[in-house]
Amino acid sequence: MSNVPVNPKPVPEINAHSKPYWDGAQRGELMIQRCRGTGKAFTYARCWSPYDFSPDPAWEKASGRGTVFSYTIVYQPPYAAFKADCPFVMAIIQLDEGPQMMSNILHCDPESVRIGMKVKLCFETRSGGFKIPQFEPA
Amino acid sequence: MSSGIRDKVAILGMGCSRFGERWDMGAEELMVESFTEALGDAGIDRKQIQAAWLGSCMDEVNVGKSALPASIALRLNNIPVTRVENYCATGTEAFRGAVYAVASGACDIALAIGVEKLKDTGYGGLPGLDGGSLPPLWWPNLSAPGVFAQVASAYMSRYKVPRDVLKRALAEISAKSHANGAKNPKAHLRNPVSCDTIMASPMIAEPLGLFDCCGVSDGSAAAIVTTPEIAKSLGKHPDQMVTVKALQLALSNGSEGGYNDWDGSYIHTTRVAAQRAYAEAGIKKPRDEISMFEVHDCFSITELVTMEDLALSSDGGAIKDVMDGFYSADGKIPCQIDGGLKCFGHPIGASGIRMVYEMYLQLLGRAGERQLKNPRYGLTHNLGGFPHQNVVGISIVGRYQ
Repeated sequence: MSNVPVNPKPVPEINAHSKPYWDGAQRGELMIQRCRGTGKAFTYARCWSPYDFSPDPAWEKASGRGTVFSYTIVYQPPYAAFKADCPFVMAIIQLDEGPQMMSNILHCDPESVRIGMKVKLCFETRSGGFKIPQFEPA
Repeated sequence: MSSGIRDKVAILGMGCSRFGERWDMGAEELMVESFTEALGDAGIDRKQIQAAWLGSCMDEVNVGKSALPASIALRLNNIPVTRVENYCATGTEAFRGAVYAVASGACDIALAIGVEKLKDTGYGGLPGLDGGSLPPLWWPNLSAPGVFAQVASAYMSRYKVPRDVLKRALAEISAKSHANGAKNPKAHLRNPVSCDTIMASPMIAEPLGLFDCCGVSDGSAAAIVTTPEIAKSLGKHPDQMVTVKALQLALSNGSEGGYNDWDGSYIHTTRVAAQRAYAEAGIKKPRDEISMFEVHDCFSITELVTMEDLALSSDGGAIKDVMDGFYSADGKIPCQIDGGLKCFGHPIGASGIRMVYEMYLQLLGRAGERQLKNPRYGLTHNLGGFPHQNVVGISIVGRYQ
């Protein structure tokens, strides 16, 4: 699919619910939400809690620290814009606050990544200077 | 209290087009190819069909959004025709519509037809399924092989399996499907491939190489269903009748993706749908009672974990079963006897019905060179979406008596 003409790499379409997440990213912060009923943290951005459907979950700044839960190394890019990144690591990160999120692991030899490895937040800058939360070895 | 679908619906006839690169045909012609075979097999006139379900997934490069292409291409008699789409489980969804319509008594004879024309896209994978509540930037740089490859990593981690051991088992899975597909005249890929070749193929997403991934195809498959009583009145002998024993669908509720209830090494919805299907069919020991099955082998690792998710292998035991030949053509429970998605091919909307087609042929002793001995129950497993967010359709079919 690398001949699919998605170039450059996409930036998000922001809506009211995801705006605090992306605004946080531009400040260099990873924002997560917490359910007001159960007290559990979660990603991704929603206007209600997935645990008890309570409205208006609270936003908070995450520590930006986590652990590699699972990963793979991608050799064939999903879109042309990702070709230069190959091979790259695609991983599920378990944040220290509890929730899991999908991310790439940057700034390391892809072969050096292991399940259980500690990682920390970093940012990838895309077109127009837009920052995307990513992770790198801690 | 519902009594389930068991033995309420009989398959009157089935058809399947040749799968592959069908530059000679559009989606409409592919539908006619499978429909004509199904109609001939059923021995009825098309005017006896009272309702139809069309399954197609990638409408942007396919037949369009409504069910009109099926109604017009098949010259259906102004009957209700509904188009359904549920990712790669679309075929099973179309089958489910027709089966439920007959079971409810709302109509006597119904048609399910699935079709997909994918080679026209000009590339190997599927067009993007972005949008809705699945925004791609929450999953940076995701690729379909990548997201399934993560299951392999999680599986190795959970069961402490060395990479070369897993890689070898995955190669056996693909080699088996290639050997089976070579015996299927309708299959897209009909070339036996050795494990050495498979393991030496270019890496797509670690540890999945080229031969661990299924391709996409053009093709169509169709089923005509009715009640066992009507099938008898139309001349089908009860000994030569295949009925639906179970038909289940399970969709993710989001828990796998974000709430930490899932370790990434299996497909949760397959486990849920399988247990419901076994209960519906009255099957207590699937490893002893299921004779053959078709799984959604979009990637070799998907097939491996599905064997455990279906409770045919014990948790962590699928590698041993694969290496023992338990799922080979001459094994205890042959898997992908028609070549599977890997070699029969994967025209999305048709795949779920294609799986039932093979089980149907096998149950009636019509599978030619790949015929198995006296199969009793055949199971199909159709997976749409990603390991952490998906649609799983499972059917069990068997002889009526």
